[in-house]
Amino acid sequence: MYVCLCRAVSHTRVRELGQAGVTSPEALIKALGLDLAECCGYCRNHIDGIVAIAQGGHPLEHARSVFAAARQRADRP
Amino acid sequence: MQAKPGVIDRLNAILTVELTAINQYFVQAEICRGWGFERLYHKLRETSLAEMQDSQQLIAHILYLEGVPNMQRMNQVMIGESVAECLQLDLELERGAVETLREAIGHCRSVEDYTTRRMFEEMIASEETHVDWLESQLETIRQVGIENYLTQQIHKD
Repeated sequence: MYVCLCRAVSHTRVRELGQAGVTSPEALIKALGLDLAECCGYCRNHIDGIVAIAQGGHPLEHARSVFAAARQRADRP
Repeated sequence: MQAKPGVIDRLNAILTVELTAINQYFVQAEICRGWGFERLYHKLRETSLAEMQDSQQLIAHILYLEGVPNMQRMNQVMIGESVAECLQLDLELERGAVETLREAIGHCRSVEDYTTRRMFEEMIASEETHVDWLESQLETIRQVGIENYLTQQIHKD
């Protein structure tokens, strides 16, 4: 799955970076360009999930937590 | 007509989910077409259009209740790198939509807005058919394997 559409970042790319030793939130943001103006910033709110993917976590787990966060916002308007 | 407390917020929250779903299905449909899965393209495009009709109904109802439809807000659009991944992400989206609608129905009951509640109930029924379709696809994939499943998606029905 794409963890960031603004920067066209796939979980495969995140995992490759993770395998190359890029696993901290700051290093991932820098390497993937998630701090650039082209990025809406949505993915940065869920950087923990991207870190988890870099460390070998399943992308669907990340998707679930993003959906859950969206739902929480919706439940408490 | 004046809305009961919290109803416009619920309508807008569901509008956000629907607007996200329109885009998610729409782009996945085109991706599937690019991959050569004509049958899935049609199904996903049809679902995207169904979500658009829901959005239209929500917008009209928000305006009827003298609210402002929030077209600005959208959740993260989830796109998979494979057909199976796309379907799983759609299932997560739909389950979220059902939960959000369920909460909204409960709220409408508590403030006694039966018109909005009925609209939400119709929407939840439609989202549940999407959940059912997606679960069936994933179960088919589990039983026949992804290659066999995808072979069946190359031609249109």
